[in-house]
Amino acid sequence: MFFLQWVDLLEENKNEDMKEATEKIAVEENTEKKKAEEKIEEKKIEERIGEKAVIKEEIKKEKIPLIQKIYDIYDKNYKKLLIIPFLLLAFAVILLGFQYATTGEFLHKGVSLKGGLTVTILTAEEADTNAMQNELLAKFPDADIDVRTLTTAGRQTAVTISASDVDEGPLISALEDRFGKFREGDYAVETTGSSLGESFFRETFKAIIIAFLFMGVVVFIYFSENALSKVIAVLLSLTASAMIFFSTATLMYAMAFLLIAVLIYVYSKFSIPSIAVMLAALSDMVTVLAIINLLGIKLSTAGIAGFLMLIGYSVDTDILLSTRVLKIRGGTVLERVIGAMKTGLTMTFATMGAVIAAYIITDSSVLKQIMLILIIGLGCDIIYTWLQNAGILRWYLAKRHKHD
Amino acid sequence: MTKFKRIITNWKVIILLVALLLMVVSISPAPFNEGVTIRSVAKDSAASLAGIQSPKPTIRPVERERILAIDNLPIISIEDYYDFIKTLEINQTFQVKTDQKIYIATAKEAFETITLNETELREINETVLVNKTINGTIIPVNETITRVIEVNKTRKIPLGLEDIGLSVYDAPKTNIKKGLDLQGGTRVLLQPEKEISDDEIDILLANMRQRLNIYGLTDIIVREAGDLSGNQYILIEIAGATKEEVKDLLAKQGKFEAKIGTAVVFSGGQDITYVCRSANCAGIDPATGCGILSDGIWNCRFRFSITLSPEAATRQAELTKDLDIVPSETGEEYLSEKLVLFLDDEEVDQLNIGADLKGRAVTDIEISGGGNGRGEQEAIFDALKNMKRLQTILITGSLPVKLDLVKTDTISPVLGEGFVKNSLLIAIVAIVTVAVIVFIRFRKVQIAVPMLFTMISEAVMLLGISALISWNLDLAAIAGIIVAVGTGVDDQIIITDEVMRGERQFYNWKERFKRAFFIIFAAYFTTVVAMLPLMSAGAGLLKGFALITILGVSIGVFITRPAYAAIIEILLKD
Repeated sequence: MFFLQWVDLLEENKNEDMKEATEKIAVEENTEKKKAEEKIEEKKIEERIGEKAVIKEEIKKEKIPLIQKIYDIYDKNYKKLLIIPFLLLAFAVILLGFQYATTGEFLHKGVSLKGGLTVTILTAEEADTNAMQNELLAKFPDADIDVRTLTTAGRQTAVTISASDVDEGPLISALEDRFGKFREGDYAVETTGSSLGESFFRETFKAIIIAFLFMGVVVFIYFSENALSKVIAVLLSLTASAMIFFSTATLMYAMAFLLIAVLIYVYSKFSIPSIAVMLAALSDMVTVLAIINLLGIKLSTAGIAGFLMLIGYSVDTDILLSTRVLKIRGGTVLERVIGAMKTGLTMTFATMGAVIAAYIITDSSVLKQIMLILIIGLGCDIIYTWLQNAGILRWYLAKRHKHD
Repeated sequence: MTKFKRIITNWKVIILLVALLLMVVSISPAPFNEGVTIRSVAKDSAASLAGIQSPKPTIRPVERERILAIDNLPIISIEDYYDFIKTLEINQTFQVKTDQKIYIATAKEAFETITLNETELREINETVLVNKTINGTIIPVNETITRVIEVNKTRKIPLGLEDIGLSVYDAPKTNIKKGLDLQGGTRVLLQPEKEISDDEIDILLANMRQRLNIYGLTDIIVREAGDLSGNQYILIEIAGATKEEVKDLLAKQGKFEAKIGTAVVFSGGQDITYVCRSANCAGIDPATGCGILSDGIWNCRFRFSITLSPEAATRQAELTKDLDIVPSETGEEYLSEKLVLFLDDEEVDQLNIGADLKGRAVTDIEISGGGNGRGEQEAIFDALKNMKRLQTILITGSLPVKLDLVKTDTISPVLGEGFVKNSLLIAIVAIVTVAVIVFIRFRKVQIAVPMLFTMISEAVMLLGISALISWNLDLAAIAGIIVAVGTGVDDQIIITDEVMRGERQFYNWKERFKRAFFIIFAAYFTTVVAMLPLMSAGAGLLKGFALITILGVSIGVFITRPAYAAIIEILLKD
């Protein structure tokens, strides 16, 4: 598709030239002269703009010593700055490991994911489900609560409250506070199971691993310079993915992971930048997961969607950085990184602004959860793209320069 | 040419505008639609006898028939409709006015028929072919003769007012179908006939999900529930399906068996490796088609082909090799025994076995059946429904246990009633926030405004596409839309940045866009391949999200972002 775009850009170019050619035939020499003069003028203006930009930069630098200091630190100490993201990552991994060791799961599940108690109250009094949900969540901060209404023949007949991590007694008394004392037959209590199938988490996990494998291959193809390694990478990735997808035996999984290890070796030999991109995306997701657990957020099915959304966003900024630094000439490495950072931070802040606005306005706890996950994810992405990915890139390029 | 004209005539922008127009048409906003829309009409009900027909599945939601008034009382919402139903009496005649026609219906009394042990004599009319001599030639003629037969006495017990048979819902204002998360749906509580173990419950749940998915209902939640006295229940939430459909699909075990004599040749599930569902080998039987039966009822036959597993085919060969060949009246040769199809131990059809199949293991078989209705349309509808149900049962096999329908009601959406209105507000605020931040960074209205426009277009187009493909908009789809529009903003910032950078080297506009789109395409491919595995994993939630995201970023990369690039090139180039 990239080539189609490029070709069509060339076509446009050609068409415009033809038009100009026919116009020129009428007043050839004059227009030629004028064009030549214009071109020189344009170049002068460009140079002046360019110079102005440089002068602006220098003025900026001189005027604000604090920014200059930060700029210097970022410039000189990129290796040391790498400690921050890696420390964060290690912290996240430890947290997750701890969580897994104590509860057997990587995340806290909400009531829609693991089920819980359901209290059905027969009442025709129209209930504001969102308000009730928020009320109950405030009373039971450790629980996850879903409130919905049941209707028959067009009129509300009952309110059902699904809750996890809360006992029947306290829940009933909290509800009685709102509805008045319950009589026999006013309400029913049931236990409900999870709404997602048994294999959902396992399949999702497999799908995410395969997604990362595929992403790695695409990034590798874009940034690596060795054609043979690209072919090898594609073959290895496809085989490993097929194994993970179709296998049920642990032997297959073990072999798949062996292939992945080989793959990582190939990537590090032929394109460190690709590893940097994948590492940043992976670190982002792992850290967000750890932070969510730390905050005690109970994931709902919506939360899982929010989580998956992060993949798209975090990859965008990393690819932007890598492309600007590796593929485009002009300026020092640092200048290219700073240029990319300006664009990238605008992207991240624009999205964050929208997400924060949504978080504040919405009264749906479900949407709030997605937005919160995105806010945390975008925040972590800043660290992992501009400190981790950028740091690794600069180290890599510095080493390459030494060899040249 | 003014800049505005140049923008409008740029081909990339034209493509965008045309696409937008198509999408708006697809959504068909009709904010003034009032009344209740008919979802389905039950067979032999008062509504059906009045002439009201179930809507064809291909009709878009906004165009479906709507009830506007009954007995000149306006029906604006579902509450009005049910308020009227409460006042109905037996044998009361009422007038139903829809946006298309006026119908007269009479409320019927419901009866329960009990068969008694006594018998009685009854006269019936039969149409037989008789050879009569007319003007010297012998011609077969249809003649109606009266016979007297003995039947079991029955007694009818009146049960009160029969439901008039209309399933309705608040008239939709757009063609966008809202899923379970956004509008709630039917909640059905089922109880297994006998107690089953935990493992069996898991199998049952998986089986039920599969069955519903194959039937075509994918927006579902199936989970187990239990009350404190130890009763087990299965709780199902479905959007856009009727209580009858769920009952038909799930309340019966769906045990399908094909027998010759008393031996089972094959049963639904594992014995059948392939069930044809495409138009060329499944549908209304072109050979027999539809016809009117003696009492005015229309009947349509359907057929579809299936492929048996090798084991089942061998079993069939074994069972047929010892049968005799019997010639039929029409001259073809059949085997002495027929292949009888049983559904839940009730016979549904008998098939003649061709003589050439004796002792041969044949794997391709054609299954047929029928459906009835008061008119041809209704009969076709019924036949196709029965066919779909049979196909589902053959593919999934029977449920491990029979289920009783305990209760049905409507459940409100997880996202809360006011969610849709709330989201509109959120969308506006989010888009404005982005535009403001972009303006702060680039300080040009000529950038912020086109960006606003492209963001809104992308959202509208995604909504339009989901209306076009009749996709149920649920939380996953909304998440997908957010991702698509979000990466759209990212890409537009990349393009803008590339354009705005005044560098010393003279890059022309082509070069700049080439560079910007290089980054955009790299990110695009990475996102798409990341979504692909999600499309195949555990259906439902992930598939919807992945599909909408892929669609969204594709629309962005090929339609809206090139248009944006063209627009700002024209606006900024001087």
